[in-house]
Amino acid sequence: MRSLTCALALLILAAHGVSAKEIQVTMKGMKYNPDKIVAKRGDVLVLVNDDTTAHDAFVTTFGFGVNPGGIKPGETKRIALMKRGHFVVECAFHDTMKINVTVQ
Amino acid sequence: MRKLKLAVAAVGIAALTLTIAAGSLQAGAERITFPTDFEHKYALYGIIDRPDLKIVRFFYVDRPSLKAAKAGKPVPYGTTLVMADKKAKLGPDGQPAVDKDGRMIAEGGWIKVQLQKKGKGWGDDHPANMKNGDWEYASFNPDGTRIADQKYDSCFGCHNNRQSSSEDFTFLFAPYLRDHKKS
Repeated sequence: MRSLTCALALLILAAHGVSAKEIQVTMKGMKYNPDKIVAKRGDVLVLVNDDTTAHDAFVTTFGFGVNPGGIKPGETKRIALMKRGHFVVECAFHDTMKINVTVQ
Repeated sequence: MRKLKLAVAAVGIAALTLTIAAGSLQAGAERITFPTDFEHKYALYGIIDRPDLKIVRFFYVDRPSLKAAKAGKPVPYGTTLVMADKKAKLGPDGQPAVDKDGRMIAEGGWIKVQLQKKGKGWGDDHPANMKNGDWEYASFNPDGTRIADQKYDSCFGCHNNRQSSSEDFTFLFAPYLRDHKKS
């Protein structure tokens, strides 16, 4: 689903001369890498679980809330960054795992 | 006289039995009642898109508890948190449609209402490995009837991942308070 949303977002932004990019985030050793991201509207977070346990990418910040569901080892999920502002992504299962994201 | 004493004892035992039975009925999810008209009486503190489930989740809290917590007091006993689901509007491809901000669009009425409520001493009913402080959970149909045979192990298990005092077994409420506390 999100891949279609992301593809549409990229197409819309491309039509307006805006270059969107994919930003890869790996989950390994109970950490997100990178854990601080400055992105542009239309960019896409690509969340790759390279760990041995399941994680997720739960955005709890008011106004930005999304949870694409659990991400098993080897799985990838995407979050399109279509709204400007600052939010935190966290793993619902492991409360020390967080990413600070700013969308400009 | 002896007969009278026996009768009094029998009445006492019956009353005690009824009290215990009533107490056991009030354990767990049964302690929590459905908050009628919550979407108007309560305050909205979060919306979570769930593309994997094709639902949009709305989170509400009773206003007195929100006021107390915003003022910096501990989340009080009696705090009622609501997680209410609506179906997501779907596009022609059968996947959730989104607005210009990439947010999913809810449509229709509630499809499920789940509650998290804090009561003094409620945690005493649970073993240490399945205890979320003094929080309990309950699930309802939109008409306020209880969902039969609902299991709550997954509620306790998942919320147990937020057991620090600053999170108080909540995923959204604690971050919301951090971002919206009165200075």
